[in-house]
Amino acid sequence: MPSITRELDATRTARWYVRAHDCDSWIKREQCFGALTVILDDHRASARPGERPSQPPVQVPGLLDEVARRLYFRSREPVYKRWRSRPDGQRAARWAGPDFAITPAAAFIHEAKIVGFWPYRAGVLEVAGAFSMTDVEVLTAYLRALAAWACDHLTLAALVPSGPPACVAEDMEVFAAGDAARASRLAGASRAVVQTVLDDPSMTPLGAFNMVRGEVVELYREPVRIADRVHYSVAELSDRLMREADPAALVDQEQCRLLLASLDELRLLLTSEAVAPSGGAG
Amino acid sequence: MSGPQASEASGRVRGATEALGVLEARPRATRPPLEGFTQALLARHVDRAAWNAAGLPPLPRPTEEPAGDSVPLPTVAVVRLAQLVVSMHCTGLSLADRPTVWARLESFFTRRLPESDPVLIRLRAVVCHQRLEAGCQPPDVAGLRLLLDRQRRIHGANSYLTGLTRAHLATAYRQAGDYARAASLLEEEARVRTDLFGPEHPVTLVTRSMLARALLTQADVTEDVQARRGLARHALAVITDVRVARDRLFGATAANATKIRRYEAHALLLLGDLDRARAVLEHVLTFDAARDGQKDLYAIGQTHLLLARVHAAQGGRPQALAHAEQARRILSAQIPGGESAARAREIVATLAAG
Repeated sequence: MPSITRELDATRTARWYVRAHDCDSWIKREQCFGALTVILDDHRASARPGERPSQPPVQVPGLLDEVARRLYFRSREPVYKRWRSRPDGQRAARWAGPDFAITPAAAFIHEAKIVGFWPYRAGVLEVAGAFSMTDVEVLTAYLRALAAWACDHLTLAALVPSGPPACVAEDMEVFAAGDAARASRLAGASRAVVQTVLDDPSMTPLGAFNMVRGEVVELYREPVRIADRVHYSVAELSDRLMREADPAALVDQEQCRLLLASLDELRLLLTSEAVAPSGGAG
Repeated sequence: MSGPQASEASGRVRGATEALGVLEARPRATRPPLEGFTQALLARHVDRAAWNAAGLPPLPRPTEEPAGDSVPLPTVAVVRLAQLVVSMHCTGLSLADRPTVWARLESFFTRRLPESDPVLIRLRAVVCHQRLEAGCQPPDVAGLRLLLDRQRRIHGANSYLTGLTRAHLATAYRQAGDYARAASLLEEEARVRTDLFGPEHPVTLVTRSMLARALLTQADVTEDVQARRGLARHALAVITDVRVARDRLFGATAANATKIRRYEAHALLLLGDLDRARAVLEHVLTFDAARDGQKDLYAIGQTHLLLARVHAAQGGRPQALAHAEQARRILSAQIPGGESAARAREIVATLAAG
């Protein structure tokens, strides 16, 4: 299993999810998230004929009251108590932690987005583990899965604070391997992916990822210069040809012809005035 | 399966599908386990017997009976996964054989989804694209117009999916010989995409690459020398922008960067810059071979065809004949009745006659 997958399996949110999911009261939480889905269905943007139906941010006044009403609770208390900063000892702690400044409604929204996105993330990690994906492959798949989540849960993605689930920024820190500036750029890329889908719900996950492909490529660009790569490869091939008992096993006739042609052309280019003004490269 | 369970299973499939889609870009030699994994995943979520009976890539019997997630998932998850299974299977087939498999997929879901389902309409657009890629004649211009109209009503005139279908319609016009209309539609589409997604979004680059191809095809059949050179110069300007952006985004040896180099060589050939055209094409062949070449044999055939034309223009008859023979062999195997295969046969005959 690639190390990035192991690290993503051990984030704070991943640990919280496992604990919360195993808790007896998880099913009650799921009922609340289900009620939210129904409430949000009414907030899907409608477009005039021929126009792109962009999804604006969604704000639901009295959200937890509304959730309680949808679940036919007599009071709002059963809903509120799950997302207060200090839940009673029987329940799983809320993802947002004990910070009083985070209201129950805000804590609920954070969790609803995280729980909605989690299976998409799990699907990526399952494949990443099975096929030893490289870090950049996992990141690409992750951002495409994030776009797929936004496509499938448009109004949840648009629910204020509009954008990706809060766990995504934490995961981007893992991808950035401790580089805060890089993590910040990746978090920006993840927000851009979701916003692209909100702007145009017909967007495919690949199309949304392509909006930030340049950023991802730049962050993962190999530091080795191409001339150095060629130099290493040529040196390695020469070395192996010198030592190989049967050089023909390394290079067949056709490859030999192609390599000679490429090297002839490279020699001409390297000795040209543009590359080596003194003519000394050859 | 309850609502939350269905939603969880669907999310997992969607996430896995995106990851498998990323891995699809890996060399074909590493692909069999990937195809097996993808098929096994789909086998858990479609009617396997009906799928196999429809002549689609056979799905294995699930090794373990999944605990409760074998009920139907939301359409979008299953259709995307099914598309991936077919796409992986098709890379092993000739271009001419691929549309048949895609048509079976369309038919499979047409029987199961309502006619107005946007996922089905999207699938139809994908199938149309596959037919265009294979150069099926005659191109289905009327069908694409109808599809475009539906996409416009569902997603809006300038949405991403509507734009994709508009570009496919332009390809159909080009294949039907209406080059000016194709180029004009693609110019317009490139403008729209540049405004919406930026000049370097891959989907904008695809449109500009298609525009270059339309201009080159038009130049090839234009008899007036000045007009031909004008079209080739226009194409070369577009190609240069696309090439630079693709080199940066995908790397110079990626399939789409190689394709735009082939267009570059074509433009250089039309402009009479034969040495540069030949050098670019030799690089294209090298990149295709390094990538493993199997995914796009048709593209390799096209490169040989252009090399034959360049060598012939330079008076190198033996080299021209060798490349033309290669082009004829590859293109006839890929699309026997296609225009490129016919062109290759024609060049071989001309060169052989001496």
